[in-house]
Amino acid sequence: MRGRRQALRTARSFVLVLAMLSVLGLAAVTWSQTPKAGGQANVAFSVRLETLNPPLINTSLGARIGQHMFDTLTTIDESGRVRPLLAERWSTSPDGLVWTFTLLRGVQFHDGAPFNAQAVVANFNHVLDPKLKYGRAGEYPVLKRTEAVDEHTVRFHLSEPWGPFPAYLTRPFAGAQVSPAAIAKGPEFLARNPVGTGPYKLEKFVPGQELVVVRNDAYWGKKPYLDRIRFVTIPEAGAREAALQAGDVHLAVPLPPQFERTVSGNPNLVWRADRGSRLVYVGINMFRPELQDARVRQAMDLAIDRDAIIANFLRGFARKPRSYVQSIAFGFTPVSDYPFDQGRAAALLKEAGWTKGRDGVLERANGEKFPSIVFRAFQGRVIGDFQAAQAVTGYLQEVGFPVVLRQLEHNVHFAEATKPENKTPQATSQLSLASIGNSVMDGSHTLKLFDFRRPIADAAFSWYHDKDVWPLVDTMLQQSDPETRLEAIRAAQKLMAPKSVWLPLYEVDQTAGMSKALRGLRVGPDEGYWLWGAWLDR
Amino acid sequence: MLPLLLRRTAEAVPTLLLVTLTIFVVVHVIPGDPAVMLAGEQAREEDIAGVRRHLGLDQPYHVQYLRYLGRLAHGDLGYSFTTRTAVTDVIAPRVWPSVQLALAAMLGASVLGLGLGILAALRPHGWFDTVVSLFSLLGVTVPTFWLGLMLMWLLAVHWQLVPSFGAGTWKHLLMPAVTLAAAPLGIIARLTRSEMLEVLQQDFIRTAWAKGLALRIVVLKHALRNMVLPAVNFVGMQVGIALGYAVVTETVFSWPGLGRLLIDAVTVRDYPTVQGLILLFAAVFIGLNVLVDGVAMWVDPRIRRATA
Repeated sequence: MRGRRQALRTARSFVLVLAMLSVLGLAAVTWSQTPKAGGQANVAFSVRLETLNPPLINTSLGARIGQHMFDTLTTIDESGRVRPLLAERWSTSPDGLVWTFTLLRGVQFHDGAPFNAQAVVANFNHVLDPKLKYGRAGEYPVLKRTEAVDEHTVRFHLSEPWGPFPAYLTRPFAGAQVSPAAIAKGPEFLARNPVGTGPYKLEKFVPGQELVVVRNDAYWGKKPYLDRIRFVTIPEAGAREAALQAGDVHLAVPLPPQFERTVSGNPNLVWRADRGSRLVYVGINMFRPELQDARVRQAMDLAIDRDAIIANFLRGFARKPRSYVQSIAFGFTPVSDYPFDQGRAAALLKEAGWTKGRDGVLERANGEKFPSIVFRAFQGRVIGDFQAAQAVTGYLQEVGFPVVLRQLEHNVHFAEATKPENKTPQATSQLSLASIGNSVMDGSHTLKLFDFRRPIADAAFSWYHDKDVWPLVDTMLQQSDPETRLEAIRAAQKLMAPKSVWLPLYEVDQTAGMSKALRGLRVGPDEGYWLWGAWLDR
Repeated sequence: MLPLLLRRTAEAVPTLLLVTLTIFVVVHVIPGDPAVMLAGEQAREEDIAGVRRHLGLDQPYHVQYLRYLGRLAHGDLGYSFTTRTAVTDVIAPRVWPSVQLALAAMLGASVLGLGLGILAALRPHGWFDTVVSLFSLLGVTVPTFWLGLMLMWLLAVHWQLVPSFGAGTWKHLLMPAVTLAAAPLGIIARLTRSEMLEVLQQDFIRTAWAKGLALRIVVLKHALRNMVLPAVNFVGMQVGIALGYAVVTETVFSWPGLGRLLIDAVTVRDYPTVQGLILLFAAVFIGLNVLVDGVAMWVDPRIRRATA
């Protein structure tokens, strides 16, 4: 009996010790999960940052880095909803031509100047100043005038209704709020002196090389944890990875998928693949008569094995598209599975009057050959871009399209493809590789490219001429009611996808390598690597 | 000697003028419209036209060129398209890192290349000569890009002896300098070896051996003096070639020099920065040639007499 009691006591003590150990263990885990203030994070990124004047920053990644110093009036959360940032609330007039924003109180710029309605007016007047000729002025094409109603109320007057206007105020280029005193000193001053309201302020900037920011202790929002962040430009992906492996940086962004194995193989590092908003597609020049036949375009769609492209060139770090709208954007509706079926492609081509000749090239019954297709593509802009273009070329050749692939620099590619002579039936550019991100997370951002009346239609590289789409684009851009907009965005996708206006290839993930010591990193869908909520677990 | 050098310097002016015209034509002929690039892909036609007007690219070519020359005459290289800051301000901070890198690489390549070449020539076809030949060949043939990344993996990642990127200390300089030195080192070693072999077969060297002079005296006093002139010439040439290799080296190591700036400027079609940089490179190249001529005259009295 006594022995049994003794055994029970021992067992009880054992359980107690075990429980205490568990609590201690849990506490230890919790401790490591608790954000710690202080320290410096080093970030290697690919693009050169030559200026800190927001409307002149020319890359998304560069602008996102700038966002550590600049706030915008609104922001977009992970679910794609527009949220207040420097603006507390907003409303639109019944005709949709006036938007009124109420601003946060008690916010200061880094130079101590108050953030108020006059500052917002100064910012939009600066970006739209015709003398300064900022290309980014085009981000607000219908903004006529900005008016300070009182200290904390600002009114935007538009030339036509613009439903997603609050979403476009999240744009980090033209939408960033800069101190009016800095603006008054001119673009040359702004290039080196970023004076925003953001969680970090400038410590050091060496154009094209490095940017060091320090915590803004007077920040109006949640205080960031890191004392300092050093962003360094390392253009070479291999060198970025080496810097990460050597422990010289905590985050290397972006890293192509081929580095996944080596990064994951290091116990101190972690591989990140965050969902992105960039859709890689092939535009089909519909000025060309032979490409105006929907069956020919559908055959192209069916001839491409997207699963193989994603598995082989992107190592699975991409998603097969289901529509022309990015799957994380408002209004996305899956309209096709994009099957790979070269048999059906051949049948469609036959129906359109094209069959494979002895030389493997499509021809008509009278021997007329399918005109040679010039496919313009670029390398290094988006992960897997040129390899995908090579694969697409191969697939299209397999069904008989005489495709010739031409590699150009990304910037040159756009300028060349949109030359006036390429917008004629005699155009030499017939297929164009392209990509589009969706920083405003709204389907209209992509679908407006299919409105032939708008100059931005150039960015689609398809010049699709369909009057049925125009009223839908008008609705999605001009209406404010989410339900009405959603309906228009869905209808446009359902209308266009069966006609194969584009050849969507893949939605690429945002891949990067990171030290395990870096915690709390938030990654937005448009290369938004935000470190103001991050901390170092030393 | 001074009048000749002054004359050579004056002769450089028309060459540089020709360079300005050539660069102007080349940057305007290569595909790509800076206005489109700056305005962004979703910009309206009128925004692109506005940017083009603002940059002065809507003017006829001859007007643009003459304006460029006019500014150049006042020492003004214009404003960078991308940053809207003075090109001189964009270039100036990059000069010293480039000079540092070029000096370190060329000094190392010259001293080592001359030394190894001389030693290899003393025992032609011996084991040392074979090793030097092999490494010379590797130095010239291994791609700069690959060599840079390999050094980075070995020295920065595995041994953690030096930082993987950046500039400022000798540790930062080590890897880029070794990478940049590899090709010139190989060439200088090969040329020195063949030049030395030729000199060592001359009659006066045979006489020196016959007099019973020590190896050190024969090589350093008699042979070396006779091969200094060609050595100066090919070292001078290598400095110019190294400018080209520097573009790759600076990109791999994120070295904040002029080569990387050139690549970046070409990519975004920043015409004023590209023109400013090429003009600077041309001036450096011409300056080096004048310097090499000066050194040749200084070391060889025959050239001094001939030019006088």
